[in-house]
Amino acid sequence: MSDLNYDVVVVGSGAGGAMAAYVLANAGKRVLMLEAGRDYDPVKETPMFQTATDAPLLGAPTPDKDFGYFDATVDGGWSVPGEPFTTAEGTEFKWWRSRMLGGRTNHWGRFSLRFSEHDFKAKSRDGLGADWPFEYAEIAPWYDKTEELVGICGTNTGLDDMPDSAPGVLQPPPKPRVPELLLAAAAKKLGINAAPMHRAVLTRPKDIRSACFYATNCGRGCSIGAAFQTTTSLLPLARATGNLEIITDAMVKSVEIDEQGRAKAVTYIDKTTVVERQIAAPVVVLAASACESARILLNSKSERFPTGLANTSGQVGKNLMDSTGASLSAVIPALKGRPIYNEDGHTANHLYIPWWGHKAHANNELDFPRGYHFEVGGGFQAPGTYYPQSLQGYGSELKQQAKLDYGSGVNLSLRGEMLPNENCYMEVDETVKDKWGIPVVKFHWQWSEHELKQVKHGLETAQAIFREMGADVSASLPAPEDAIKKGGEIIHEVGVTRMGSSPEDSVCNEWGQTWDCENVFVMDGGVFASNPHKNCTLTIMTLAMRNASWLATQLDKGAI
Amino acid sequence: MLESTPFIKTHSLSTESSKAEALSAGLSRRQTLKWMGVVAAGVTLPMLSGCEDVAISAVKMAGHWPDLKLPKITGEGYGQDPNLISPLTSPWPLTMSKKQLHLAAQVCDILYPRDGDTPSASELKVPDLLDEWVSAPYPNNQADRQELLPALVWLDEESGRRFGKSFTDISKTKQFSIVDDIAYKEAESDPRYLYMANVFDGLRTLVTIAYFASPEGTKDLGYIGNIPIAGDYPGPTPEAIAHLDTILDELGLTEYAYS
Repeated sequence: MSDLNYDVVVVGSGAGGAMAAYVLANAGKRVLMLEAGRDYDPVKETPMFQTATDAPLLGAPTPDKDFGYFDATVDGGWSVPGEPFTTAEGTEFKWWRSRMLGGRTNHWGRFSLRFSEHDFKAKSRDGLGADWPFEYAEIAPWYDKTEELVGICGTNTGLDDMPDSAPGVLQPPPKPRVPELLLAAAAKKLGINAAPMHRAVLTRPKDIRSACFYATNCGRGCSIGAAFQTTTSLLPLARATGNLEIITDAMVKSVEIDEQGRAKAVTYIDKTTVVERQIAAPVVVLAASACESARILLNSKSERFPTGLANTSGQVGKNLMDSTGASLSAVIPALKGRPIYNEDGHTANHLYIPWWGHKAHANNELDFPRGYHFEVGGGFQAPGTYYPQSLQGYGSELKQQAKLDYGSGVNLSLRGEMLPNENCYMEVDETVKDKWGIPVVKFHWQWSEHELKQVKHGLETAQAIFREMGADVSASLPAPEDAIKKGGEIIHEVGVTRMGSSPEDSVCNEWGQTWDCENVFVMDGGVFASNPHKNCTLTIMTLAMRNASWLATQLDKGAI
Repeated sequence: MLESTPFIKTHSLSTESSKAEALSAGLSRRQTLKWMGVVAAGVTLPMLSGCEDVAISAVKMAGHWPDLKLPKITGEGYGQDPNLISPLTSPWPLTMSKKQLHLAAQVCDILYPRDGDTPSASELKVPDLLDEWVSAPYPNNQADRQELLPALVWLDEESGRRFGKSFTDISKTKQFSIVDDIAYKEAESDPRYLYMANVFDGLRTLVTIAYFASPEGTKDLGYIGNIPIAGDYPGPTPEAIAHLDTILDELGLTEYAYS
């Protein structure tokens, strides 16, 4: 291919890559996208309405399909055959990868909460971690544009943890359901507000996509495009401009530089022929997922950049963060035998509990520095996912109990902010290569006291809420060390190519442009300076929209 | 995820470590596990086995647990990119014998007998699911196989001890007399039945899930979702809201009701 075929090469087709490609293609730039996985079409491949009995093992999770048979993830999950990663001694880390067009957007939870002024400048407040190189006010209009394009349902609540969207941006949220309403009242008694979750699920039709019809789990993907994934939205919309070409099964290995230290090409393995290819790249946008993008940079060693591209600061791979996670469930006696109705809704939280402790933090009343939220589970779920407990006996007595218990369980899942720490990072393990011959990632991980204290607080709060709901809460709570999920398990890994105000301690500037190499950008979660508790995808897309727009103007000016 | 977030992974009914903990503490396993496993967005079967533990071995011996030396299942799973639209009906060879299936069917129907117009568990092919389950090559299924198949033998041996015949050859009344000893909380304080009661609990859970997942079971349970709705989600019915108002009142939460 000639050097001049494309203006920008985008690596990855998930949240960041697809948004970058969409923005650039619409700005008239010619974009080539490289995706490591196979082509994937949700319209044809999504198992809508299939029931548990249609699947092997009633759809139960297996090592082949870690989130169950019908989960959208293709060729991936907690393991990818032939593509191992390693961990340091004593480290437990999980890394979810999808090898498919659209990446992890095909199955994500669609929770789409804005970071706030508070989140972007947390270090200024408590001295921990890192600030972002801009204010909330600067990014707020980009959140509006992203929410408008993606399609987010929810409301403006005025709560201090939930910045408002501009009027008219959000679509109406679905009505809350009984377990959520009971939980909301119990929490309110404790001074804690519940609020409509913001989700990337259309409740009104938009462009080529239909509105939600309130059935069949979003984790399977959505053939009608109501639950956002790039394969039914940004990618087809960008392709329609005629400016986007996509090569699938293209596993990127490294970025090559010229004598001036500028990127000149991308090297990838064509997985179908197992041939290494190089493609000229006037500008490179890495959006391969945080740790894959960092891996590409670290594997792009040269005389000029012997420790990897864009790594003069030594920060590539450092500052690895996930969300904290913990979960508590209870049977609510008052919910037993309640009137049954269709409780599917949009299949995830209609209400959730945003972080309520901003004032307590300001008053130094908490022994952990960063907040969390609770996601709520429960309801009359589809059989096969309904999980009875404490059943006794057999025959009619058993059936009566199982039916009485149906819909009486409630689960609270904590998702919290962790702080970066020196024990949590990734590097390249030169001793192990994947089946494409590329050195693999090695993880190092250790939660700090901050996270454990936060989880302890969360478990106690969940127990208190369950008590108000009338549950038997006499059992002792698990220790935070046991309750906290493993690093990576919440699949919010970010921070390994963080942005900042100085090339000394960050990899990228506020535009996701690497300090070392002006024509190399990172537009995935790697650029996060901190990892607020609010699920990363909306902010990945918002930053990609903002930064790809900036890139387009720079290209127009001939500045890059 | 479940989201398919890892929410899905929140439960495992009886991991071996928690079971061992419960046994050594002399507590009810259910009490220890109270915080786990009420809600899940996917089926994970109770993991009935794992590492051997001194306490567990002792409990097994006290309950004369059959030592079957089952051959390992070696085969392929369905892979990471199976057909989701039309799944294979039998992705791996089934391994249960006719005799095992016959016994399993009787146990299934003790748990869920025919109930008016609603068929029994065996009529709803639950034993076939058990066969698919214990024949699958995945680690959890292999672990369950190591518990569920000995449990069937245990029933036969117990029946032999008490009545001189195998479980499938005794009367319903006699079958109930055995099941009565393993199907209730009381079994947890009797070393003769403790281990079997734990395995039986796992089996009961699996049979319950399979039973209600069938179309007839789903109807019986009352689940009415998984159908497309035109327009906005209607929310709770007036009847459901009236019930909610009642329980809010009973719990002293009326003044805190969400609005």
